[in-house]
This record gives sequence, structure tokens and C-alpha cells, in this order.
Amino acid sequence: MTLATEQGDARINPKADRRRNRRGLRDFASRLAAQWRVIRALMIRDMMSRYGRENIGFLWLIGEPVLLIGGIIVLWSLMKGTVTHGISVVTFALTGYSMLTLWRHLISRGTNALKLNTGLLFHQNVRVLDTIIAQILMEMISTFLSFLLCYVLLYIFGYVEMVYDPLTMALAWIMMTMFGGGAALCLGGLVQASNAVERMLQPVMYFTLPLTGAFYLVDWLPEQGRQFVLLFPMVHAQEMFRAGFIGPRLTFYYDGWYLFLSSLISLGIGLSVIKYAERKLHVG
Amino acid sequence: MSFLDKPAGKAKAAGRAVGTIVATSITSKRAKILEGERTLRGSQDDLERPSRDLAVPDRAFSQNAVIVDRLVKSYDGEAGNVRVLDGISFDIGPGEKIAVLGKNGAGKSTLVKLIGGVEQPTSGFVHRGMSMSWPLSFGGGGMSNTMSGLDNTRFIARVYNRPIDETIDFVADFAELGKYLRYPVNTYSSGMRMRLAFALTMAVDFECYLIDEVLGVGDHRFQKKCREALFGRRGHSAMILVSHHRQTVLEYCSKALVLKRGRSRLFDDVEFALDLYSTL
Repeated sequence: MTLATEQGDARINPKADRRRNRRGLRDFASRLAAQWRVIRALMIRDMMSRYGRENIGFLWLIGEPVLLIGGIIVLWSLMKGTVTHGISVVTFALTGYSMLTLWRHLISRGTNALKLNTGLLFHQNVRVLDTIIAQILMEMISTFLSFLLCYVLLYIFGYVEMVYDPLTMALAWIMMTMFGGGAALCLGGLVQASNAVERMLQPVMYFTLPLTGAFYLVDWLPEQGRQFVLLFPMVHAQEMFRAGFIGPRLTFYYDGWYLFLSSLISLGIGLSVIKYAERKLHVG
Repeated sequence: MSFLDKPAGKAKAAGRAVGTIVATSITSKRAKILEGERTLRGSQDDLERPSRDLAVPDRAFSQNAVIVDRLVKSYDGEAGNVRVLDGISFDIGPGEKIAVLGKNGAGKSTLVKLIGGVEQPTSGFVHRGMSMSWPLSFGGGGMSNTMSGLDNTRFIARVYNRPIDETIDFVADFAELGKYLRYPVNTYSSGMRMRLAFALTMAVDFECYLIDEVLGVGDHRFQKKCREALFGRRGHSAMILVSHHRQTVLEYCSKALVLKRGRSRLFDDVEFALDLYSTL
């Protein structure tokens, strides 16, 4: 669409170019403000339409993942005792499942975004990308808040230690959001383009579970296994997150730049796939 | 209706200019072209007044107008590619009210959705020089079913950058839904839903309204209120009106666009267009 308009402009009106440059910067700032306004509205709407105002309302946004993470912590503690391979099971489950929840939620919300939110596209300044960005941001914030809540509770009761390096953890969280968000955009576009992809998504997502690194430390694996799982950026993010949480007491394998680059690449591919899918979209 | 005359005249000129470009570039002629179709006419007209035509693009992109140029939309379906719209061109000046006529499935709703930016065209473009409402249609698009009317109002106010409290006051007053404004939209009847949708678009106060067959909705009193609001107080706003209701079209529209098999033709004589439409 934009492409077509620009071609049209250039053909009909050569003066438009110069004029556009002059207004460029101011235009950009005001559009950025509009974009943020729309995304903010979408985030609030997302919250309200999912949880409404009944009982604890939007606090379920945090409550849902807390229940899951908390349940897993209890379950694993019962199954594996308190310590495994020199790491406390509570720490292991808390870090592993927070990341895993973020990954799974990002993918499932991203893929459903195109299907469930088409009604929003009736508003001219709401585009497919805005709806997905809003959902990704929402998911990142809500899962992080539930991690924080779990952590604070467990810390108060003495089950976990003080985190070693919050900045590394935050970076890992952000880059996981970027990578997962890019993957969600890709899959969202592909699901829209083909039904077969949609059918295959469930099993494929199931098989990616061990590749998120939530169920092991890379250190525990044999050399060959290490090389294989470290191909997947999710494992890097997971290891980085745990490295920030636990500190140098254990060995962690991750490469921040590899994670960052793959995040950028996945975002880039995701954006172009969404752009393509948007042209094919049929709004009911 | 005198305020319509000037912009209408200008728009006509712009239409011809767009038409010349189209005339040279239309390659696909799947459907039989309607006789004297607007998009193909005008090589003589253009030779007559080249100076004005040259000035048109400047006017078109700088002033308030909605310009639809060679719009094509096709969908991939089970039975192959379906071309719903096949090179639609026309434009709307400020305050102009255009009726879109055509049989069911002629592509009226698709056209309205493309103009509103809900879907992206396969090719061609829409220039929107006015603030455009979202298409008001039976599907109730633009509202979120699981949210209450009140939360929907807040959402619209945020997206379109309106003061939230004033918008709520206006919607409560216009839609007259009373306490039901606090209930989720999916508990509403279709009439109530349209009341809310109408109130929301009125609250934002657009320069161009896209109305897809919903003017006859609601009880008598609400219909009157809608017409009053749309054509009375907001008489200055442009409108694209999809309607099968002859009386409405005759009364309010200054032009009519007839759609047939993906092609269009714009008539200044609304009555003639309606007669033609009834023979389709």
C-alpha cells in the first residue's frame, strides 16, 4: 500500500518529494506519538477484554502465570527433592518456567493475533503490526511481573537467594521477547497464509520445548549436545537469564551477541512476513 | 445543497485527470465495460482543457479529498482467484455524499473496507485527505465484543485522541443505552450494537463517514436521530453510503456510484443511477 502510494506520488507529483523531506522530521515525531497512543490503547483494551472487571480483573494478567510457575515449582520440588546437580530445584523451576511461559505465550498470542483481532483493523490507524506489538509488550510485562511476584514471595520465605546480576537477566528477558516476538510475527503471517501451517503448529511447538533450555543447564549436556542446543537462541536466552540469577557459581554457556543478532534477524523476517500477510487478509 | 456545487465541480475535473491515466493503463478487460464508463472516458475532455488537468494532482494531494485510483482487490478462494474489484477510480470532495449501488456481492462492502483501510488493495491506492470513520456495518467491526460499551468508548477515545470523559458523556447521551452501557457488547441486541457504533462515530466527529447499509437500523426515533446527526448537524461531512433504500439515496446523495462485476461508473444524476441499478 505505501509502496503504491509513493509510486503514485512520484509519477503525478515530483514536488511531493521535496515537500515530504521538509516535513519529514516533524511528521515522524507526530506519527511516533500516534503510534504509541494506539499501542497503549490496544494494550489497555487487551487487558480489559481478556479479564474484564470481574473479581480481581486485570490482576489475572499476573495471577495466571503465577499459578502456573508456582504449581510447577511445587511439583518439581516434590519430584526431585530440594537440590539437583548443585542447583536448588526452586531456583531452577522459577527461572526455567518463567522463560518458558514467556516463549509459549508470545508464540500462541502472536499466532492468534491476526485471527482474533481483525475487528480492530476497522480503525484506520490500527494496523496488524500494532495489535501484535501490543500483545507482545503485554506478554513481556505480565510474565515479568509474575516472575517478580513469585521471586519476591520465595525470597521472603527464604527459598531463593538474592539475584546476582539483574541487568543480565533484564537483557536476556528483553532479547527473548525480541526473538520470540519475531518468531510470533513469522508464524502469525504463515498461519494466515496457509492452513497447513496452523495444523502443524501444535506439534512443532511441543517439540521446541526441550530446545528452550528450560529443563536442563547446557553444562549438564555432553559436548555434542551442547553444540546442538546452542544453535537455538532460546537456549542462549535461558542460560543468560540463569547466569544473571545464579552468578558464576555454575558454568553457563551463552553468547549475547548471537542472541541479539538472531533477535534482529527474526524481527526483520517477522515484519516482512506480516506485511505480506496483511495484504492477503480478509476481514469479516 | 448549494455548498455541494463547488467541490463537486472540482472533483469532476480531478476524476477526469485520473481517468486519463487509467485509460492508457487498463489491460484487464474480463468484464464487459459499462457503456461510457467514467474510467475510460475523457481523452477529448482532457484535450480541451489541459491546463486545469495539470493543476489537479497538486490540488488532489494537498486538499481534503478522498481519491480512489485504479483499485483492484482479488481474493484467493477455493475455486481460484476471485477479482472482486477491477479498477475502480473516483474521488470525493469535502462534504460530498456519494451513494454506492449494486447487487449483493457486487463488491460494495469490499470497496468500503478498502477505502476505510480495513483491508489492503491488491493494487491501486486510496488517498485519504480527510479523517475517515471506520466502516459502519452489520458485522459491528471496530468494537470489541467482550468489553463493555463503556470500555469500548474509552478505547475509541484513546485511539482517536479524544477527551475520554466528554466522549463517554456524548455516547451515553446519544446511544441512550442507559445502564446497559456497562454490560459487555456481546450481550447487546443488534439494534443496541448499532446504536453504540453510531454514537461512537458521531463522538469522534469525522470528516468522511463510511456507512454500509446500516442506516435503516434501530427504532423509528433512533433512525430520525441518526439522520438528524448525519445530514443535519454534520451536513458538512462527506459520506460514502451503501444503501438499497431509494428514498434515502435520492434525498441525501449528490452522486451515485454503480458497481457491476467489479467495474464502476459514477453518475451525477442520482435518479438515473437508481433506475439503472433497478434494471441490473
